[in-house]
Amino acid sequence: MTHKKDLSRRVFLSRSLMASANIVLLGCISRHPEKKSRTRELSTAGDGELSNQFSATDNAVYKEAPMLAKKVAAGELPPVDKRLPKKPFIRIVNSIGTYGGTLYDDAETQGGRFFLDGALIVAPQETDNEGKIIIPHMCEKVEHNEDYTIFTFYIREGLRWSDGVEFTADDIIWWWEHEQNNKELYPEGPRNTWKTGQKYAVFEKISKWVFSISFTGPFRPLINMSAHEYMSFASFFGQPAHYMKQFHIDFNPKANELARSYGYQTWFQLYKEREEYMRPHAGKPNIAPWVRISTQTTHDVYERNPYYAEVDQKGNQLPYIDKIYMSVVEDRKLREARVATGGVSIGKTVLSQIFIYKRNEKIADFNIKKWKISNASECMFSFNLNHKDPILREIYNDLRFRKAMSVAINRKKINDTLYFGLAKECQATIDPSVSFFDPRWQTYFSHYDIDEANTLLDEMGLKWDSNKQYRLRPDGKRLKTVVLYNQQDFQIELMEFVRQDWSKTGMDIILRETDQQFRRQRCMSGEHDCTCWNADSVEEIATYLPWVTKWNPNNSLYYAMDWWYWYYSEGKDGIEPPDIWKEQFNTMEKWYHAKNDEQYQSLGYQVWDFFSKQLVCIGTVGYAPMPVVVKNGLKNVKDIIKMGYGTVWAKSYMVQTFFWDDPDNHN
Amino acid sequence: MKLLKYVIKRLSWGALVLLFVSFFSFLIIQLPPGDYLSSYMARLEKSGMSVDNKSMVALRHSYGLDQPFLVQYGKWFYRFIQGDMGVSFIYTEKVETIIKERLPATLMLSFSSLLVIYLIAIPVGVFAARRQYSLWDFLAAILGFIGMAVPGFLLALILMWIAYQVFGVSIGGLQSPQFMDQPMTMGKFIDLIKHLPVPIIVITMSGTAALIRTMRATLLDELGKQYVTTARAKGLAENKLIYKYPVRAAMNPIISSGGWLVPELFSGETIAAIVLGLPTIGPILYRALLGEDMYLAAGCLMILSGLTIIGLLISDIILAISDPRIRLE
Amino acid sequence: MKILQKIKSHSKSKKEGNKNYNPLYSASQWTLIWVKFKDHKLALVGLIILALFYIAVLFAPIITPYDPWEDSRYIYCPPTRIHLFHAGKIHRPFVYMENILTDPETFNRTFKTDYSKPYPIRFFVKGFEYHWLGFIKGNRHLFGVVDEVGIHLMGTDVLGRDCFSRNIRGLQISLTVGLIGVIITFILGCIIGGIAGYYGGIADNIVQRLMEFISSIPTIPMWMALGAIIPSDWGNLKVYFAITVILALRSWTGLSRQVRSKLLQLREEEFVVAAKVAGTSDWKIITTHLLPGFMSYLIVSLTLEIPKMILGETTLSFLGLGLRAPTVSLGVLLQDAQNLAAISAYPWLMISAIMVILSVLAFNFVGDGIRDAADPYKN
Repeated sequence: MTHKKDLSRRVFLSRSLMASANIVLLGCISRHPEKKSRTRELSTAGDGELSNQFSATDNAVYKEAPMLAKKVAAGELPPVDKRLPKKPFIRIVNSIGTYGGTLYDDAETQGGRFFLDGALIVAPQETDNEGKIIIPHMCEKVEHNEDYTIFTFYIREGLRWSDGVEFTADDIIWWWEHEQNNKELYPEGPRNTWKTGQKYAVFEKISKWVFSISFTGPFRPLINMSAHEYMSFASFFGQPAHYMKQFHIDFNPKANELARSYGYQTWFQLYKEREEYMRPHAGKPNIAPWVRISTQTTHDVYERNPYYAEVDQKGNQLPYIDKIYMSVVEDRKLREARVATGGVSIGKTVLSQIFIYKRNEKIADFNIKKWKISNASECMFSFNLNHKDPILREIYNDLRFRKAMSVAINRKKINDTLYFGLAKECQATIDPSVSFFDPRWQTYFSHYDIDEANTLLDEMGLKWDSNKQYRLRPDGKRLKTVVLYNQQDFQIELMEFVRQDWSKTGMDIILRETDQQFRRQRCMSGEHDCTCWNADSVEEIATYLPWVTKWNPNNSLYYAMDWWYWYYSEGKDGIEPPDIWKEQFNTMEKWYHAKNDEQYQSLGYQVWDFFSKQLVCIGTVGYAPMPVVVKNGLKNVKDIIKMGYGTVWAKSYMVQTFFWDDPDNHN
Repeated sequence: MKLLKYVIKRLSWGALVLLFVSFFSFLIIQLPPGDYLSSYMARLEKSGMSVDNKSMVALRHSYGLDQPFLVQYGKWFYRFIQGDMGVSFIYTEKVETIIKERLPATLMLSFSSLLVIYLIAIPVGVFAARRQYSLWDFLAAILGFIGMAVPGFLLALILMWIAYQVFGVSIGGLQSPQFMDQPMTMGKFIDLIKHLPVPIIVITMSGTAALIRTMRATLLDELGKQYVTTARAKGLAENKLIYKYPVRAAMNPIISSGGWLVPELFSGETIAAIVLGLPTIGPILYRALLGEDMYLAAGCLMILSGLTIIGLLISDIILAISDPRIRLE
Repeated sequence: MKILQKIKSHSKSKKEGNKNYNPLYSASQWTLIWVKFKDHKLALVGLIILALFYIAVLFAPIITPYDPWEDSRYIYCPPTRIHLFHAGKIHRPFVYMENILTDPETFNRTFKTDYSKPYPIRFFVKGFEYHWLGFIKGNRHLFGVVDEVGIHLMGTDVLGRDCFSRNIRGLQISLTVGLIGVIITFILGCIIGGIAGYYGGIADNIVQRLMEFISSIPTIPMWMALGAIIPSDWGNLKVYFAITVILALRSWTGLSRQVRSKLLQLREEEFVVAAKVAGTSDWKIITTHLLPGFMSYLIVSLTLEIPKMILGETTLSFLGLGLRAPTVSLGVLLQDAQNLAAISAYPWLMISAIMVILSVLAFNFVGDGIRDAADPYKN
């Protein structure tokens, strides 16, 4: 790769040093020795994915964007080497970029997600686009002891918030003591992620830049969490104490008046609004590449963070692009039209209309990149195993029923009609790249055989009615199932296909579209028959985030709420699950607290083998193509990328390395 | 003096109407089950975050969302008349800030639409009436029918597409993002002018069509009356004749129906704004209703109704001034 | 029929010089209106269009060759061309097989017509099963072709569903929503307007304030707010009725204003006073003496309300606050047409808009026609 010649000797040396160090880190996410070949080859780094921990010497020369240089010259900002930490993160980019320009994007509503929003998430570590490798990012190092009970975080010395104040361990400690443990903000204690068993983790400041988190039992997933949104700084993990204090009653006796001046009644309402990174609040310091500087109901403007702690391999401070301009466009069709006419710098396409984008390439001045979605299943269905109606409960709990429903789905037709045959017809399970993956999980009852489905249902004793149109329940009524769903990113026509397929086995399926909120309420109280969702967070790192997986019975598929309540309350609420499920929950708990690699592998395998054999989530097609359009002139955008929640969406595209060929034309 | 009494009477009735509107709006927002916090939680969940139920309970209590309807309405109303419209959950801003931000564009579009409607409809209507049964009359009739039957928002995307293909106008909004935060320059002004025609066409289509038909019909009625024949017989020039008496007389029902045009304009503007992404109150209301952002939704409904009432009042006043017969009532 | 005969005999007798007898003098009010109506050309056209639409809607399952919800592999196909000439010779109407080729790079779809074999269009073919009018089972359709090819008069949509069938089904919903909504409007308008007009005084005042209040809220925002209340778990039928009620809540004001003003006028008339003196109940006075007098005005009003309802339902469904998939209404169909692909490449998806426009125009013409015909002062 050409850039290798450009690398200075220092960088080259330290890279080989780092190669060995990184393997140690990778060992934390262990895999079977045979599967080591899946490890990313470090020496071929250079596509922005990995970095090194290069020790800057005293005469390191950094460069900055012209708009910042102006401010430095005017005395408004300290010079760039004073703004960067002692050891900034070095991002190896494909092409060194030119500073300047603006990225344009659209969002549905204020505080809603938009295509590039992942770029604003910054955590102690980060993961690559495959979701397999974790490297330190804003923390120089993250260490843990042998049995994963104590984790030590080394914040980059000299790291600063976007207003110049230092980001130290104090910010984390303050956040833990005064936010998570504040009775008005969190009445029942800090977030559950910080609990092992009954006890909360202990946060301790070790020195100015170092803090530790100690658990009572092994908690390997903390490594995974540290690379994910779950521990995003200035949001779910740590706050700029110097800024948030003004909203906190313990530090500002006038906090209630302040809240009232913004229209709220009490201080903690205002505090909560300022808490998360997605809530509009221009002025809150951040350590992301861009900081929100203005908010209106029509648009948001983000501007570069002068203190952002990344540089490219030539010492240019990132990001290259000066601004992100995010328009609020409420109507979905209008958003789609804007993407198709080059109104945004980078945007998702509507797959069924892909040729329109092809046609528009010239006039809209963009090109199409063939990205994919990393979801293992676009849409998977779950029947309510805790149904209130005992007859339906018995039917849904019968494995033969679920097997029948799975083989009744004509996945090929769905793939051909909706995805041009480019998706993968498979059962819903975790990603093949996971170290304990078993290929049999992906093909388990994913073939198409209506006769087999009907035979299984016949075996169960579900008779046909006199017209041979519908099957009857044991009590003689028609076997009716209402599938509750809400509008999502996947093609909604898929539901119609599944309905038709299932009706060929005699099922009377009624599709009911509602909004998210209603579906959630309904499902959480266990009043639904069947619902569906996508299967994201299936990469190695994401599957291990505690209880985040969609196969968790109280997550988006809500297939066993009562059992979950029982387990969660330790027997006080809910309904006692059958023994195999009690065992499964316990296995999952043990897995999340695995002591060593061997346990991680074997327990992980057990957990997912159980889910696979139980067929609680019936998948359709997955790994669908999701082409995106990218304005011509926007560089450093990868040709192949997987989009997904497991890799925190845009965070893994490395938006801070994007740049315009001709920034002056893209203001 | 009589006019003043009339205005005061109308204003006080208007205030009473607004009171009912406030109750109605608040009731409407409260009816669907759940509230903003539950939809917020659902949204968080959609993006993959599992939600902390417990803190939501406390938050719900702090916002008073678990209190009975009348209590919530009472509190809101009490604050509203003091000028505090509450805070929007979606935009995390005060409702008044949001409405103030969007009001100018709303008024500007409504006002220009009204102007456009009158400036086009009246001359065309008069022309069609004068050349009754001619080709022009027929064309005007066809235009009228199409305008009445074709919902503007259906054409919105087509018009935007044509504007994009032919004139390179970016789709959506009143301004290209590049110019939004810039100070006013020639480039920005031209961009604004380029974006205006599509929204105006979409909003004014049905109103213009209806007004053309009404103008034509009422003018024809007037022209059929005795005094016109008399004036002609007396030798008055045709042009002067038409404009001095019949048109003036025909204008009265036009102006009074103009009053009813006001709510139609705000109504049409709402949907046009949603489909075209305009920075007016319409899309905000749409979002607020879908997201159960109750203070914002109620606030928007009140503002729109308030504007309507004022609009109706102004048109009634103009009518009272121009037509002495009304004043005597 | 009798009247036509009478009119014919009238013209005959006119020729014979008998000027004194004009059967129209003794014709009923409705016949008079009908005769005048026929003169109004546009109204006649409107009536014909409406008749066609309602017949199509009545016989919907029979005249449509495909189930509106059945998908096929003929995705986004343009309307099928019907040919009359095969290999130079005339043939009964037929279609050719269209092979769909998808370019793997651009995903562009092109159609290659196979001119070798004609597939004749047959009539009264067997097709999907239906329950006509809810209870008559059948599976014969007006026209169709064998399964290998498709006959899509208005093309197909993203799932290969036949647009013609979907449009007819959509018409069904849109046209009946108008009718039912108008019935509700009529009932509400008559009752409330009647009370206001007949009793006057405080009742009148209250009603007037109520009407003012409703007209102060702009229509679409009000519909949006009401549409947002509809619980998302309601079945389609319930949602359908809720929509009709919401639409009617707006239109009753116009009707009741008419009823009120007419009643205010008429109640001072002598025949009313006489009836009162005779001891007739108020209810009877209103219904038998007053209402028939201006029934024609009411009918005009109602006819002119229907297009507003059709447009209203279209608007609401378009915004996603009205009927939803899988219900097929013209508004829902228009949602599918609201994208750049439809505008630039699949324009046949927008035929639903033409259906809306034609229905609205037809009702407006008919309403105008009735109004002109019923107005006794027009020469």
